[in-house]
Amino acid sequence: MVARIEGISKYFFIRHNRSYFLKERAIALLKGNFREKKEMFWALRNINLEVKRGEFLGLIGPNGSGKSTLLKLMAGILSPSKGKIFIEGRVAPIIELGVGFEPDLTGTENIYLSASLYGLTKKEIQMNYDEIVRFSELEDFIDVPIKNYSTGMQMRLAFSISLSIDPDIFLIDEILAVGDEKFQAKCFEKMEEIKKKKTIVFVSHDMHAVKMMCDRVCLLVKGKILDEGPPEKVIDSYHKLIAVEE
Amino acid sequence: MKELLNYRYLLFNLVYKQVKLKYRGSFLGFLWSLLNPLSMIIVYTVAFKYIIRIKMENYVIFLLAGVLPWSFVVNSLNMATSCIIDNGNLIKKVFFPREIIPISTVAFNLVQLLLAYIVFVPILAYWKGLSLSLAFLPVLLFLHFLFTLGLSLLLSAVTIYFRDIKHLVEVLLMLAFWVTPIIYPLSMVPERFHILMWLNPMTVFTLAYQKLIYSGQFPALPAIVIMLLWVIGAYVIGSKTFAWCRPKFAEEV
Ligand SMILES: Nc1ncnc2c1ncn2[C@@H]1O[C@H](COP(=O)(O)OP(=O)(O)OP(=O)(O)O)[C@@H](O)[C@H]1O
Ligand SMILES: [Mg+2]
Repeated sequence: MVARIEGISKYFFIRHNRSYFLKERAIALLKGNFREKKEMFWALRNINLEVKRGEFLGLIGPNGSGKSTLLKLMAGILSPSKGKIFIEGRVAPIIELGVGFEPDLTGTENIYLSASLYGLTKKEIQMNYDEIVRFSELEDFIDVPIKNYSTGMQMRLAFSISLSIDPDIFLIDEILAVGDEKFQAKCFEKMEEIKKKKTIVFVSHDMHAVKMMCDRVCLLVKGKILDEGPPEKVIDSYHKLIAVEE
Repeated sequence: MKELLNYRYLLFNLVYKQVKLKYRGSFLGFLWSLLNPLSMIIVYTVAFKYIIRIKMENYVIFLLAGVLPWSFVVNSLNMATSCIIDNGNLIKKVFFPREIIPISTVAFNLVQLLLAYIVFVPILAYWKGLSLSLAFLPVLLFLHFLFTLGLSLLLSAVTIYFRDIKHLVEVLLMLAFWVTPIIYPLSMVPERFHILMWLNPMTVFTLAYQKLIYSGQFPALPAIVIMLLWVIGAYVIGSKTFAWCRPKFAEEV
């Protein structure tokens, strides 16, 4: 066991007359409008989940079902409204590729900046630097500001940086469909390799990838786990659910 | 605290990034950072030595002693009011100690201040000579940094809830400039207003800078104690408020 999620619920406030301005809040107060109208939106309800060491867990479900929210809770980015999360070791949330990239800085500078966001020290980044550049295949462009990269090139660099983080648990939010066909194949190959050593929680809408890589899959719908088990079975019940809705 | 230490390289990178982005692409590059304070010093000298001719001895040095740290505070606080929102994407997507963002903002402005001193201190040496009291400058800078950091933590956290605090702070700082003895010595202020002046935390810091740089004396012990109290007050209130608002940053920005 590397991660245990016990009775996690998370709500967000949907604010109808919410104002982010002091002035408007003051006026509302003067008018005797003390309570702001807010509605609780439960993005996750009573989630219980265990992730075992070395497991490749898939999270699937329709848009807005709470998959990203669950990853952010595990990463400590959001704090739960109820319940507890136990994590052993370091987690690396890859919610989005290229977070913190500065267009005016060069590839090299962005490698150092971006990797340090994940808590890597200068030494660790230096040690991984060659491998990052080699994997991204951007040797010729590494001293160019990344605003001159194509989108795919930026994503390749970002993906290569992510690989260097070396956490105990990877939390990956649909980011594999990057780069051209050749680079994608390389990414999946690399994922297979990582899979042997690391624990991964993987959110994806790509059922083919989920079937190919996951050991176990959870189906999340409207903030609840509806099904859990081997990929084929869970993907099947997801498809059935979609069919019923239609 | 231990977390912060683990992320010190991130802190360094965020400060370094801001410095680099500020001067990148400009023809003179890094030299700009020195040209900026230099041009300020030249303008003041021409204005107050040759045109307005203030009767005070070495008025330009007196003025710079107060203006440079004041700009540090103003720039830090104005940037602090928007730093969490400006870095919203980082906060929503990555986990790191959130304090790093306001700390890097204030540190960036401290670097600017130090660059200004690189220009100012040689000029000071030439005009007036250096006195031993300057040895206390690093201590004063450190206290002043902590004080500004405390206020910045407070402001950066509450702006999440009240976005127009930014404008309020801008106006208040402009007013505060005139009730801080920066362009005039405290001795020019009528005795009965002194109490009011001392309620302003920037007064004691400004006087300390003037004493070190202009009068060549160490600050008095009571002044150091008052500064320490302000530092502790600002830091405790700032970091408590920040810690209290912090869990909501990722969903509110
Ligand atoms: N900061 C927030 N404030 C209010 N509501 C939010 C916030 N973040 C997420 N939500 C809501 O929580 C729900 C779950 O969002 P989440 O991003 O976890 O969905 P998802 O499963 O990742 O969807 P997708 O497949 O589209 O990525 C959504 O209805 C969304 O509107
Ligand atoms: Mg999502």
